[in-house]
Amino acid sequence: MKNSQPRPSALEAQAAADIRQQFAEHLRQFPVSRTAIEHFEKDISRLSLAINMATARTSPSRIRIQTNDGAIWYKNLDLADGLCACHRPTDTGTEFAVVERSPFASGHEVLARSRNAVDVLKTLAQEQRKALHLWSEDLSVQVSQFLAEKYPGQDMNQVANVVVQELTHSISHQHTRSQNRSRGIGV
Amino acid sequence: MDTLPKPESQPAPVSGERLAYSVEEAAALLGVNYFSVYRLIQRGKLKVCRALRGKLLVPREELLKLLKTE
Repeated sequence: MKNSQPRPSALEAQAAADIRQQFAEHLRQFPVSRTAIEHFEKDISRLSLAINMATARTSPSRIRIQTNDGAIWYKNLDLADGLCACHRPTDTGTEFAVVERSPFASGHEVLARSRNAVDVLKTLAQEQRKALHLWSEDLSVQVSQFLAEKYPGQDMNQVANVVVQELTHSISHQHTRSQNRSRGIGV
Repeated sequence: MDTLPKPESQPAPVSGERLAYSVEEAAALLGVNYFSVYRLIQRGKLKVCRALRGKLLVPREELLKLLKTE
């Protein structure tokens, strides 16, 4: 594979190492979150099927959840820590929702609702993508600020861009290393 | 919970309490991971301001409000 990037200078290499040290926790946590989102997105069809099947079963032991808006929902399945898919019967048919249990209190909040199980899962995925994008933007700003303070007068934009791009695309690269084509997943 | 620990490495403002925290600090104070904080911000559950260069800052009052009202 042809590499069009010029070889970094010693100063740029040092700056990249400084970034990795300074933002080590970001570099550790970001790929974990991104992987979780990508797995969730790939799993939407299977999850929606499971939600629909669980909705069709009426078990007396089903878990009842009252959300902060007063609505009563029946839990279908857990999606992630504190997040679950729910449904409720209405006059016009079944309504689905993604409900989140607040990590700071006992309340439950509806994050997404729809007549379609796939739609609520897609809405959740989109919301998580937006949060990941916000994270990458904030990290990019922090990295630029860090370099401007540590290397005053030096143009380190290229270093900052390379490190942040490595981070935000690292999972896709890991998933597609054996493939030659990107799936175009961006944050 | 009415008080938040003050990181020792930061200079103390006039009032003796930090006015705002970075996302990393907010995550540590709340006991959640970074992504949880960015999700709260993205959903408007945690209001933030931006420093001069655009870095996100979480006002101390917003952290306290979140803990009291969430």
